[in-house]
Amino acid sequence: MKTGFNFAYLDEATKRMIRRKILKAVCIPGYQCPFGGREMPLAYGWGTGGIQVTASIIGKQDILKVIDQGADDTTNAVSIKNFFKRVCNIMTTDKTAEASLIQTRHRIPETTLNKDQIIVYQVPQPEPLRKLEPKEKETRKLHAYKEYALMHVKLYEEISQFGSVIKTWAYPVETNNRYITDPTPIPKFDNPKMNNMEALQLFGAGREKRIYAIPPYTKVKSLDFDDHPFEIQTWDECCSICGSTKSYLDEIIINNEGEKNFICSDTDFCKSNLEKNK
Amino acid sequence: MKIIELKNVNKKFILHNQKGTVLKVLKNINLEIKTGECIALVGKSGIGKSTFLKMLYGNYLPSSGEINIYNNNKINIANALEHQIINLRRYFIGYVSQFLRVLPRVPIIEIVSDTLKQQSLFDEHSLIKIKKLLSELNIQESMWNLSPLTFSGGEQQRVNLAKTLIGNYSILLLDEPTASLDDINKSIVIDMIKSKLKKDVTIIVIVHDKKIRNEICTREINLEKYIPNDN
Amino acid sequence: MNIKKIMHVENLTHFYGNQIGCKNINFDLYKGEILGIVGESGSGKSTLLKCLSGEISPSAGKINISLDQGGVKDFLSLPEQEKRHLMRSMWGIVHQNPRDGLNLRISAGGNIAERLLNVSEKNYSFLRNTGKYWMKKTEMDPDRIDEFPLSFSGGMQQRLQISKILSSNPQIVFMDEPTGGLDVSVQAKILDTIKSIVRDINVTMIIVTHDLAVVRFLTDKLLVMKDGIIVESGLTDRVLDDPQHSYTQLLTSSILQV
Repeated sequence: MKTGFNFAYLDEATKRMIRRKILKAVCIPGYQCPFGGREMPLAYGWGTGGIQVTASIIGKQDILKVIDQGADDTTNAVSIKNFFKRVCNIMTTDKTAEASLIQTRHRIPETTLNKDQIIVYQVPQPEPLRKLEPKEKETRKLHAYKEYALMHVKLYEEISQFGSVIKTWAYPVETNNRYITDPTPIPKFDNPKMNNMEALQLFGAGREKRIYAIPPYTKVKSLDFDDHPFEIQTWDECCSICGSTKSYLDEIIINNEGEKNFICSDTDFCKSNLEKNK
Repeated sequence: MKIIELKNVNKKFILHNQKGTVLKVLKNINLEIKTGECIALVGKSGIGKSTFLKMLYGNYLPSSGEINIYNNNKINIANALEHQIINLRRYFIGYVSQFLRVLPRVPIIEIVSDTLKQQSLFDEHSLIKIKKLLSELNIQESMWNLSPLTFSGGEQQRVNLAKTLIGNYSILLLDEPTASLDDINKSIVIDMIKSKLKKDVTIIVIVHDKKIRNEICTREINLEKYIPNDN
Repeated sequence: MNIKKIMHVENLTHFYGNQIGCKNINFDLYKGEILGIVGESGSGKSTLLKCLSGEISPSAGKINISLDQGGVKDFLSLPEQEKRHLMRSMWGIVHQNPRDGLNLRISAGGNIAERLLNVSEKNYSFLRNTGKYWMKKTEMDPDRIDEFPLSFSGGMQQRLQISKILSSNPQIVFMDEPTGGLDVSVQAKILDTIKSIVRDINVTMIIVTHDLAVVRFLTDKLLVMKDGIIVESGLTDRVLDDPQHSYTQLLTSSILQV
């Protein structure tokens, strides 16, 4: 089908520029590389960064999976998948195990990724210190000089005010013992998956125009104190569809009486788990 | 053994803001003081006795000349570095001025303890020693935790003395130590000075009372011979 | 008795365009000394303090520092990272207005913790206990550790600033008019606190002020500045009791007796 667009929408020169940035990002794990973000056919805040990264690396043989908060079937995930189908004519899938390239908004799939896969995260705010230090000039210096006291103070404050750290998503991590990185608004439940992951992790922020990366087998440690170590969420319930006790559960209110159901956020995982248990 | 030496010491004051008036006070002082001596500085009022003591303490600056203190080494107070003089004042030379300059809000017991703390001599027996000294100087127990700021002249003078006599100084500079004291307290202080002398402390004292001078002093230095003759 | 020279300043000069900030400043600072820099407005004392503490890069001159680790260093030619590290850990600046030295968006304990976190402290309990310790040391109520700076009075904010600086065991503390904006009775108490801390922990300090009573109270030695240069220097009591320079004499005779 002739669409009138170049393969994957971006022109080759742009793809080259972005790939160079990706290479640089891979060489400096967790470091935010500015890039010349292009105008995409959707507004900022809808995944333009992720789309640009995906578009720069996708090839004819790739099998693409797009998820939004863990689900393959939300409007945005479907729209992005359709976009790539139109401009690349590549195969898409819902199954994590079958995908070679996964673009995600705010979740990491439950199924462990392998070394032949690449995961692309959509990033709203690449700068983990932004809320603490509004000036870009200053945050760049802080990263350069490894002056991260501000971030640790924030954690201290939360423990002193609330008894424990209350941030449960976009929980800051230290990458490769060097840069403090924003893992994107994934639940802290997913943070441990980032550590030593076999797959390449790429991050694209369209509005802020930054790309960063975590190469395979990189140490990623969630920030904490020796005597207040990092902990992930747990549930008393299990998934009401597949019965899983090991996945991240969404809480859904099912009627006007306020009755709740807990179901897996990762739709593909839930389906496969259900199949397995049959 | 020589402990203090003055060589060609001159002192004048230039009052820049009062038409540059020059007040020449002392001229060509050359003298030596040996360990264990008790020197009385005499001369008429205004001649420069307090000035002399203050120069020995580093509080006033000689216009020229050397003031050498023989500790383990020789230090010329006239051109020593500040921390050297502070060190001398801490461990070696004690000074009782005519007026008590006191830090407000600090109670007597702390003022006196401070001397020992500065000399790193403060231990579990110190408070007993301090209290004993204060009692001997007739400073009542009820006053020990008060600041001497509102006390009478005589009481302040006794605090001043306590603060210095508690210390382990080798040289004591005393400016009218008994001036505002009644007879009883006067003789107490004189006894204290005598026991210091027994421990070989060198003392230079200004005291108007001739009887006291004769009781404690081994030598008199009359500053009349150092008056600049073009005055 | 060998006391270490901690700072050597040579011909330090700073211009604001054509205007002299400070000129040809020379002095040495030894460990444990409390140096006062006095002068009236426009004397250059604040400029000098900012040059010494690293806030300004002076136009000319040399500052050699010798801290506990690492021999003698030429402060002005240090790479920025080392300079910043020094400023955050080895020394501290107590500002006249405590709100300039405090992060108003974090709690008292957080402010104190910030200095320690700069030197990678990893234990929460330690941070908290240190915070309470220093609050007690500066005569604040340690139970107020979680309150925010704006809920404290001016005098308390100043104490908090001092706690914050001292908590990281700095080797030099710079103070700029430490009691400047405070009520007289509060000033007196803060000075007492500073004095007793100084006696306790043997820190080296440089205090800039126009108030001669403060220098008499706190400092060992003094630099008197006028029009950007040092006109007289020496032991504090010597400079105040036997001033040699005409300007110093003018200053000391101008104090009203209460």
